[in-house]
Amino acid sequence: MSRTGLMGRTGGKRLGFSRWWLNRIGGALLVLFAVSVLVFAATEAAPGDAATARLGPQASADAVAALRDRLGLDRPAPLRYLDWLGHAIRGDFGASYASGRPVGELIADRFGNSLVLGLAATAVLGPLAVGLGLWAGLRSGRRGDRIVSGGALGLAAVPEFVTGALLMAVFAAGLGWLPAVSLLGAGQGPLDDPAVLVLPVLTLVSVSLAQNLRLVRAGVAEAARSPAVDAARLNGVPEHRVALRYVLPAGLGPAVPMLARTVAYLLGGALVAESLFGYPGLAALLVDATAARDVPVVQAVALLGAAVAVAANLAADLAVPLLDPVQRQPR
Amino acid sequence: MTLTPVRTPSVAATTTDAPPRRRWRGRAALAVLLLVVAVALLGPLFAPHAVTDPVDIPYAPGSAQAPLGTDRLGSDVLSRVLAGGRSLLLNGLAVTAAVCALAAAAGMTAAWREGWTDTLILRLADVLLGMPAFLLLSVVVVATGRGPAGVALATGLVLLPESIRVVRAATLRILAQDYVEVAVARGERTVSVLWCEVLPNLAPVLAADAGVRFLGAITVVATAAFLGYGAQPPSPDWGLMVLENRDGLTLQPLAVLAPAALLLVLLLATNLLLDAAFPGTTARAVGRRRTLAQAGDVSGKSDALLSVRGLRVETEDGRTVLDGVDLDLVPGELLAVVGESGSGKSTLVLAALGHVAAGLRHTGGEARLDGHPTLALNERRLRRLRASVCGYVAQDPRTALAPHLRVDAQIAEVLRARRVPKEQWPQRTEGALRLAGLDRPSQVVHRRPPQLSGGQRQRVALAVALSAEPRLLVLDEPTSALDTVTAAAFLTDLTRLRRETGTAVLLVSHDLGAVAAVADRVAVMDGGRIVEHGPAEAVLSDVGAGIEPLAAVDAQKGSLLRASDLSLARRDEPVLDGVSLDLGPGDCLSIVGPSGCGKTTLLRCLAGLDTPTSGEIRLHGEQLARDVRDRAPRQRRQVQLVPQDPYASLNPRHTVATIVGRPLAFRSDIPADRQQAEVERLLTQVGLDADLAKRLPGALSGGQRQRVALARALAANPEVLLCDEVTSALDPSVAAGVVELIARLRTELGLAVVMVTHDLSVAARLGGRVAVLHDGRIRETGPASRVLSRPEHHVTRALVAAMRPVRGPVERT
Repeated sequence: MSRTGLMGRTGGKRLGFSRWWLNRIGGALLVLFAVSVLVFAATEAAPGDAATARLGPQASADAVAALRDRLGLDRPAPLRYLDWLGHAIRGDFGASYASGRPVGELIADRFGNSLVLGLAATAVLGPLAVGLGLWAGLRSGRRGDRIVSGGALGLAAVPEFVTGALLMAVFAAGLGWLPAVSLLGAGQGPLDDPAVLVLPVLTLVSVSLAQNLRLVRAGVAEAARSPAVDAARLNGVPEHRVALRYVLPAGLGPAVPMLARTVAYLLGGALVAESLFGYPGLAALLVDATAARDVPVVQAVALLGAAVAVAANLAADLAVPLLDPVQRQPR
Repeated sequence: MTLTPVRTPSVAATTTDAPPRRRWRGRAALAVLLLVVAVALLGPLFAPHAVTDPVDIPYAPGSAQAPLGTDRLGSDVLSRVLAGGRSLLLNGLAVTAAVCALAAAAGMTAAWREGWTDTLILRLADVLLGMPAFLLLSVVVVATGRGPAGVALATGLVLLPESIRVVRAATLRILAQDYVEVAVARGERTVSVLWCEVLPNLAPVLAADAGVRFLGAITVVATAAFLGYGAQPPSPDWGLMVLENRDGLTLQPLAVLAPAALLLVLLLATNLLLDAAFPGTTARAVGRRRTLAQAGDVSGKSDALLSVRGLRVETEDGRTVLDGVDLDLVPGELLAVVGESGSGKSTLVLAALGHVAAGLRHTGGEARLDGHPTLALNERRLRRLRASVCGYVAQDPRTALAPHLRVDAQIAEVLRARRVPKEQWPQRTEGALRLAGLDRPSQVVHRRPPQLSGGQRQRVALAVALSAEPRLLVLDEPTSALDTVTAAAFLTDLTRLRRETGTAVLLVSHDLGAVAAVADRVAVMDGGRIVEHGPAEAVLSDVGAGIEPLAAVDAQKGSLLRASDLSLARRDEPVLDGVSLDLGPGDCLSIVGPSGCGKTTLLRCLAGLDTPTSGEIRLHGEQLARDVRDRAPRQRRQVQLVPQDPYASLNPRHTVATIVGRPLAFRSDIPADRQQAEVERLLTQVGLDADLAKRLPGALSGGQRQRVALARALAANPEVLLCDEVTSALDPSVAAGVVELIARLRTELGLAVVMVTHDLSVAARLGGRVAVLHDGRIRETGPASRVLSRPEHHVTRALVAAMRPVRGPVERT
């Protein structure tokens, strides 16, 4: 049935399933490596270097030169990259230009806070997207579907900071039910005062729900139109079994990569929501560091975020064939 | 290899116009969008105050002087809002334009070049996608410094990879179409293939993508401003205003809400407009509620297992699909409902089971299954009725089974619905699989459908239907997706099955000849009515009428096209194994064989679209390059291919005149000013009205399309015509017409014809010689009449046995 011709797109060898897994994992590591090069190159392009940043604009040229020599900044860029990468892999990102404190120390707590926020948002988002998408997809074209799809269409277009500002205006400034700013006392985590999570989570969910829901809905509607589903119904299989066994697994496949990217986004870079609500996560740190060109902090946060994102995407890549055996034999 | 695309005329396709609701929404969105754009572009001219002048105390509420109040520095919010959209909009547009141009170039290049270029472009896209958008934004801004330029660059990098992927995927889809292969085969240059064949079909994708990217660009640019990466104070900017005035939200919410609202309206309107303009992104709305005008009375239970009275079904826009159909089926009987596609036979059978497809409406009459009015029952009771009475097998075994469920799970769902106790499941599963003709159930029971062959899948689908021991078995076109040998075996099994179970069978088919042998009664449908009805023998009066060849037997002439010892292996498995053939001018050679025998591959090797691993092909004694791109223009012109599927082989964006006219450009004997006349002559030659020249392929029927494809091949003035299953996608009567045309062209023009087919009756009609291909080797060859009357190889005998006894259209009343 396969036609490998002039335009044949089936070229390539049939890989074993385990080979395919290894390929994917290798590919992910490669992407991560390329991202590290990108991050290093971008920060390298920024004017000034660690010596001028640390000594400030008033420092004498001699002092800068001496420090530069001591830090090895005169070495060629590839060498410094390897040096930096070697340390980064061991968790040593150097010291912040702004505060002089080790970057690892700066980000440790905040990374935890960011993860809590991201996981909370994921826990709300996943079931909501799949549940609503299934419900709407099975009602394709009817009123319930039109309401859900139309709502999703609207939400999908709104930037996160606008949704967040509106939520803040209504629930914090207007009704006064929830804190507008997610302030935490020293030594407190977000779980000590879960109220601070509510508005950021709502913002994140409302922004990322739409596209995921639409994909699940589209996949489900497509799967529900398949002759196999009609055949099951005509053989008398009750609707709830049709929905759960026939439609959902087939309909979820196309949405999985998007779900993964959303999770990657929620865990690795919920920059806007954190920044809007002043949530003590990585984002506020990154935004400040970017403004101040605090290179070691930017490098660390960007690399960390990318690692989380690549891991989530890899998980999705590996999950799709488990869900959808049609794709299990990679062609 | 013989994928028979079964195309029932889609109901949705007849209503291509956007529904009024969507059109209305689109216009409203456009109006709002234009308004916001006007505000953003012209707003600065109307600002009542200078944007940096303090007019009041900070965070003052609205007043006569400042209707929207003031911001944190006491400046007028209205003036700042009016001034704050222009740069956002212009930056967004610039980024969108740059991204789309780059993505179109990179995406098309990746798809066309394949190989390392493709890999490189995809890998670069992967790296950019590897970073969450706003992290990438931050990294780029560190490098460039804060400001609109850096933000624009970063936004481009965020949007580019996704756009490249979209363009690449769409290009790949278009490149896989037969019309692109035909263009390459006739010798079009790369540039003209991309420009004439690919780009017109890519245009709608690019337009939709540009809309999506614009939405993204505005979002990212505005968010960057909100993060403080873009415009710097004191310049007015909607995103920046939200950031600056956030702390005064309780005192003066308008300073935040006004810019937020404008952004919201801009993006919502864009999104709604996109949705209205490119409805492909959202599923089409289809109603499926049926009218319950006539609640059936439950009395009057007849002895018929299935009884249909005056059944009427219409499309949503009022076209009649079923026009008052009556039908009865008694227990144990086999009734075949026969008709061409579009005759309403599938609709009838599904409606009888209470299923009215999306886009259709039940408007009158009733159907009773085991005495219950199926079209008046609620869904839950209907399912229970079906579970207890009937089993259903869908048309195409490739799609009839859920691909992700193992065979035993699929059967288990039906047993569960029938309330069979769980401990009986394994035994019932095994029994059903055996009954369906799978002798070793243990081999398939733990597999999923993609791991099974077409014939096995058809039997599994049958087993699913049989597992609940139904009194009525409904089979929708059970043989149309199978090759003739497998189909014949399936029908034999069906006869045995009825003997063993005594179940009644309702069988839908377009092929009277194939089912007549097994049916008790036949109902012939046409135009939504039953036009003929009776015992199988009566309906099938002309069975056994001999098939007369349409052309005389070849006089053996010199060699025009000769292939020697062609072999081709794919993944180390031989597809062709030393095939040789020889064709003189005006000769006709039919290559027949069951699906998967390599016949299409052989044809593609001759056309230069597949590359044989060894062997040579000669035309007029000159060696032909294996790859069509290396053949001389004259050689390409002399050998023309007509692909299998007329729905994929014509560029949907070109008129018939363009399609047929393109090969004329390669001919020196047709000057440009005579091309139109030549196109009209060619259309007439293939039996089409010259008026069709102005139409697009979408407005043509399958038979007309196939004739256009033939006219395009003739336009090159070829000497050899390679026909790939050209009748398999067509209804029998239409197919017969096309075969007749090919035979006529052969005698009139002295064309040599190579016809690949799985249908021996086509070979019989064409006359000439027949070569039987099986497992990549020619097993038998000879004049068609001899091979058909005295087949020697066992594969030939199976093909002959499976041959349809009736060739022509069903007699109409």
